Amino acid sequence: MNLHQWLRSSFEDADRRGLSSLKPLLEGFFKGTEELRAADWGDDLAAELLRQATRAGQDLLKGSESRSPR
Amino acid sequence: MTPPLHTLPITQIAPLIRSRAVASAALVEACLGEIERRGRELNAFTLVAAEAAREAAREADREIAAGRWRGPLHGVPVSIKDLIDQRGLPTTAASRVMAGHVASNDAPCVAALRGAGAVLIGKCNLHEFAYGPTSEDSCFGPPRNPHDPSRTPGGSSGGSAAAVAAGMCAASIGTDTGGSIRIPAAACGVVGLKPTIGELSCGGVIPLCRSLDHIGPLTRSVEDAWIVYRAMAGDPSPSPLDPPFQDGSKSSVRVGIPRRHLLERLDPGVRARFEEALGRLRAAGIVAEDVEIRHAPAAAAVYLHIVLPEASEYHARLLEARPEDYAPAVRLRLEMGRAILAEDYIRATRGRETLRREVDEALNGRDALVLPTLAIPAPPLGAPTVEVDGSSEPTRAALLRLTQIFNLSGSPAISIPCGQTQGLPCGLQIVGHRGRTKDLMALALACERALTPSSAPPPHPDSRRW
Repeated sequence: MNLHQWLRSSFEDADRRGLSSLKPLLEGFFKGTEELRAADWGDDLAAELLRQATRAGQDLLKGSESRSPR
Repeated sequence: MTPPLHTLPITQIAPLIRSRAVASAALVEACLGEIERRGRELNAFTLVAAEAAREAAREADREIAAGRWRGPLHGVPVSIKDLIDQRGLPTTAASRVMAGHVASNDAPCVAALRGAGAVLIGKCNLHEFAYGPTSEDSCFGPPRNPHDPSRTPGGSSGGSAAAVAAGMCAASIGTDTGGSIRIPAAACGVVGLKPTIGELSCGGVIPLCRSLDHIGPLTRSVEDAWIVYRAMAGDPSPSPLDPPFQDGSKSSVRVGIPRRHLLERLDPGVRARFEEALGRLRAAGIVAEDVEIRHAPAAAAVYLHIVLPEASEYHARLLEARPEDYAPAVRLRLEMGRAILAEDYIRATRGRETLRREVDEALNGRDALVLPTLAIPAPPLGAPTVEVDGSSEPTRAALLRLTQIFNLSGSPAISIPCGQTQGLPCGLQIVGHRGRTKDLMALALACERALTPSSAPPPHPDSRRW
């Protein structure tokens, strides 16, 4: 869920439960969550897997080039 | 002129009680007198156990007369934050939600204090469920700062700090999830210790955030904090601290100053007191060098994405059943925690690991980190925002800004007084290595003596003078 979707659905939930006073807090929190998601936490496994997949793909390409018929 | 009995540190009271020059009963009476005199104004206590304290003091005097002195806390009045169970007394958490609850057992730390002979004088006011750094949201009304009752004593252990600062007890036990011991200690001009995470049991304490909660003492001196901390750990008669440098001796201590990020926005008076303190420490031979904690700007986001959902998890059923019994602001924060996505909570726990590693790196090759405890002096009660160095900031965020990161890292941290600005106390925060709380406290003692040489007790020929 992206953050705009999160905010929209949290607003709807707050309305449903009669907690409209929660909305300013949710809006304020949006910025903090954006910051949390944007930070580089250094050991991102997903990013590493993507890098590995890219390297593997490149190796495969190289391999297929070397096996290509002369 | 001799200072009044109830304002003396434990290190000075204990020998008097041990030698029977002063009776515990007289000391307790002096504290009760101070509670009577300023209790209504400061609202530091939710409950004063006067008769039980008098009886415990008489029993302490009898034991000491019979030659059974237990240690430096024997016969000394101590208060307990009203979030911590004390057998036979209500644990209110300063909330209507807890109405009718009476603790059937002592929390382990309270049992340990009883074992050390402490006289438990009462339960202290706090921010409801420890969920705020101002102590404003309390069903008993807010505790107030003894230096200026129109201002917050800090929080969430606000009543504890006010009680110690006002001489209503010699020490108090608080809890600290984002700064709740150190913030009020700094705001009220006393010492507050958050030991290494997990070092002292949080059993019998209503949790705010189980993965960040700490428990520890608020006192009038570093040595007193050491005595109470050791008693809480089951060691009622600890060896005195051995400071790494003394007056006249040169220090080999190295400290890091996390100037980038953490010290960029400070009240000018707070900055001036901090730089003066640093000057004195340098004059004592301490080597201070700037360090950087790269992700420090994200610490507040990490902290909130952990505290909010964990607090909401604990309160979920009560929140469903009795939402109107919570203070409105506390209820909203608890509701907010339920909106946080699991993926963001997990992301924050990874952020915590990164910050922990970066704090450890900043400490590598150094004895401690040194920084102000609070970026601002104690703000007026009810102020939603404060002015910090020319820009407006939410009060809550400003109060937590320099302390919450060390709950995330789990490092031991202590706040000691370092002068005043606008007639209000400032605190110096010293942060040590995890698992080395004793080393931190020995350094804090040396710093305390360097910062307040006139109030340092004279050297005693007996190394175990307590």
